[in-house]
Amino acid sequence: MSTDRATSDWTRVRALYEQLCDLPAAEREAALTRVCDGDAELRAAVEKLLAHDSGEGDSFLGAPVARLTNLAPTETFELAKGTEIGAFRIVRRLGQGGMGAVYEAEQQNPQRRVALKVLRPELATAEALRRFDIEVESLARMQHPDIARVHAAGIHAIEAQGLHLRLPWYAMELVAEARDLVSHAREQELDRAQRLGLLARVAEAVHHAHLRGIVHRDLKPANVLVDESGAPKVIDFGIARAIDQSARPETTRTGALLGTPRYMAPEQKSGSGDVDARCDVWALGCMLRELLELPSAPRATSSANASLPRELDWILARACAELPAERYGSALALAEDLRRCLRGDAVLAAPPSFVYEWAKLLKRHRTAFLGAATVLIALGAGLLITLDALQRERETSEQLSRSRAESEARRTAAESATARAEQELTLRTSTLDLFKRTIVTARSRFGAGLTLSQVVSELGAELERSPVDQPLAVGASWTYLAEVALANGNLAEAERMQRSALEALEGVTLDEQVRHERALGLCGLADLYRQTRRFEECAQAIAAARALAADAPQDERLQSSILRREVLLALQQGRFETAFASADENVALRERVFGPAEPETVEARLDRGVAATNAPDVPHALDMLEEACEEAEQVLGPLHQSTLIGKNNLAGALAKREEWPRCAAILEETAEAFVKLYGAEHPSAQALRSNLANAWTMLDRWADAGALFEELLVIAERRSPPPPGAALELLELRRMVSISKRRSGDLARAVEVVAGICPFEERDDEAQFAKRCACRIECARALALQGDKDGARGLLEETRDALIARFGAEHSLAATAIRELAALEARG
Amino acid sequence: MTTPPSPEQLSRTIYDALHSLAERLLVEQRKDHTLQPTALVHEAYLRLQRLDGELWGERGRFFAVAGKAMRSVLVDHARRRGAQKRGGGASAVQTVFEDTPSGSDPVDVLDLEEALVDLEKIDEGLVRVVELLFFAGLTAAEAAEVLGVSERTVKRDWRTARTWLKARLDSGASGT
Repeated sequence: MSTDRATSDWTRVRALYEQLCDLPAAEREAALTRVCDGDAELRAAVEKLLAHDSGEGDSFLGAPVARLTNLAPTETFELAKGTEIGAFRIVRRLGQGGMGAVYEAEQQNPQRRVALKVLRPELATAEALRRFDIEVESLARMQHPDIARVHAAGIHAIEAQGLHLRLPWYAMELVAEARDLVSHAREQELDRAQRLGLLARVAEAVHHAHLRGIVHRDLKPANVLVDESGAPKVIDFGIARAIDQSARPETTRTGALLGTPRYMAPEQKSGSGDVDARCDVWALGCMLRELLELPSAPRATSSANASLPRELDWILARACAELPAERYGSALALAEDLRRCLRGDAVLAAPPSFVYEWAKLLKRHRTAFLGAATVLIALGAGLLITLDALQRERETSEQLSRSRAESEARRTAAESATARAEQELTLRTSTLDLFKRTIVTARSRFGAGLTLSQVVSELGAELERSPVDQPLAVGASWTYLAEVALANGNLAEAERMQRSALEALEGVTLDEQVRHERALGLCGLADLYRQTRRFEECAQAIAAARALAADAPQDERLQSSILRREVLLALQQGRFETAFASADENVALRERVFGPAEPETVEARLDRGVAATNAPDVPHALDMLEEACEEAEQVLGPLHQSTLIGKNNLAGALAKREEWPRCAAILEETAEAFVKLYGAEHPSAQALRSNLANAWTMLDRWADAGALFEELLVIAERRSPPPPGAALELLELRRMVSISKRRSGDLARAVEVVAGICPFEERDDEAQFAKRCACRIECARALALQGDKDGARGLLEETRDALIARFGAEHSLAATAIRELAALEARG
Repeated sequence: MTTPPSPEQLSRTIYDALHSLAERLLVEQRKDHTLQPTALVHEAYLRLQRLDGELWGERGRFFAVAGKAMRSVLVDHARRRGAQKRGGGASAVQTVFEDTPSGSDPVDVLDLEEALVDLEKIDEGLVRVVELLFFAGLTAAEAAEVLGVSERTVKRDWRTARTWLKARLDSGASGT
């Protein structure tokens, strides 16, 4: 029976049933006979329904599985005055919020009044309760005058409406005569400067929490109270996360639903991005808008806010930028820009319209960009690094075009090929000029980093959008894009692009060029694997490239590219002698193929210098590296990534000789340049600066080192996904923060930063276990200096025992713990 | 905010939220196979309310989607349990709505679902009413508001739907 037929039949059956079902049973029979008019099938169907009819209601499906409408979030219980929760006694109810009720409560010892927040029982799933404990513990450690302190927390069990309810609660600082931020501003009729100042202060407080790895996630005026003296207090820090069990990575989709939509950053709302400090920056931007009593459309243009100073407009646009990467990198940066604005200084935020102009420009010339993609993108990395290099790169590209044209001419009619080559060259040159112009302008306004990422993404998207029937060009373009992405530190994007390159070249008949591009693609993949410490896969990729290149021994450039990857892998794996031998071979090869003073050759000399300073017994190793660095500054430019990394290695060699002042001086210079060019999040920037901070500790510059380690810690904690080895690196950073802070007199922080990592974890390997113990020892040292001798002793004894149990008493850390204990007792 | 989410995205969001919440609660809270969906939707409701004030204005759509989500969660849950038990070597276990008043047989979740799928083929409107009244627990008046029809129509549809389903479950074959 077709569906149409069934439906029309059903319509008749239904109509008859509904007509007859209210008739008394006795009358149904006659009516059925009348209406069915001899249609036995119809009659049977209606009869069957009538037989099952039970009037308006019976037990069948009588009890719904849920009553949504009864579930309006009204408070189902109220804690009575005098109820004891933990060490607190309820005094009165202060109010009702989205997450629960707030009471005023008193504590006997110490005697104080607190604000006691009792969360809704529905929020208390098992996982949430577990989380709640952990989170609240870290919140309790946060000390900032403008953040309401969390004193205690727990779970309160009650019986209500025949249900066992478990109510998570926490007690926090009671803010006297609290008003929310916006009401306060209105009631006190604050002027614009006062409002900006207030928000800057809030942003600074928020930054303080961010430094400790705590993101608020639900910032809104209602969560910023202002006390009678006019001081702001941020409340409910991290609570959104504490109660949101869905914050677990596998369920971020629903995790995104917790928070207040009006103040929620796009990536938080959609669940598509990481919830990090920049979500709070967005919320601060929304609050700023509200404080300034502007309409709530975040993308209002300059003209819409004619009365607003344009700097404020820029600040708002920057704080509420759609992409997290375009927002202020920290709440502090926002605060600082607000203060600049208040002082009348130039702000860092750039006019938002420029971003659009630039994007438009890129769109308009997309075809041109793509047409010249291979050359252009190859130039991209150089362009970003130094504009001086432009002219040379351009000459190279012209040469490249010429040589391509020449080879083409051999195959096809010489005239038309030359014409094409000329055309191509014109296109490339004009694109290059455009590219140069945009980058120069963009960099003068934004600094570096952002622009090239945008170009790469844009070109990548274009490559994906428009199917091009030239696998070679597509493959080569992807490889170049991947290279640039890698230089920018976008490892995931680079890997995706590199795989696209190899895919494009998959199954294409192998001629010399295809072989060349595929092998280069594999080299690119090897770079990625190496940087993510997947050494086995790296070696495989290199071997695959070698296998391809074996059929093209005349392609010496390719041979040399592969050789360089072998050098780099050996360096990374600590096989320095092999690295040195291969690097030496590569220098000779490149001198012959490229010429003695070409960029490629200089890069090979840098590799050789690095290998030499690490390998045992290479005569004049340091001179070799130093010369290579000087040469790199000349040829590649002082800001070229290879130059910077070479100098980092030079600093490393100096460190080995304990020449700390020179080591630190080199690192200061290179780290600053690197961060400026590639951003602080770049993995190499992180490594460089961590070296710098360590060098400072050797020079007893503890305050500088401490501040830098703190910054590195924040960046390292924000990485998502965490790179391999991140856990160990984080522990080491915490340890270094603790040491530096202790040495520079900030004992509270010295304790705090290592206090949270005390418990041993089962999945720890030896290195991690040892690092944890080392952190505990630092914690004990700081505690001892704070005068908490018992705390220090307890920590040391436990650590000592754990170390002895795992490594034996001879282990150097165990010995350290024992020594510290003895010192502790000696101090008396 | 940027552009408001499209209706499709919106209901997808609601659906995903309800679904994952329900699933999680079923996993975490239910040791046996009776269901306590009330708590489950309660949490969903809270979260959704926070999701977007404007969205919440559209109560109708929330209930419509929530009813559907509830239905599918129950079915998934029952199927999985069945599969688990079979995998474990024991006989398939029925998941039933046990809290129906005494005097009537418990309804097997999967049987009911099968019947609903059949009914959907010939009369979608009736299934919507079942979702609102049975799965989302709306009263006839509330459902009428959601569907934009009179309460009388809802009551009539509900009666027809129940009768059809009963007949269908009784015979185990096509109900018309």
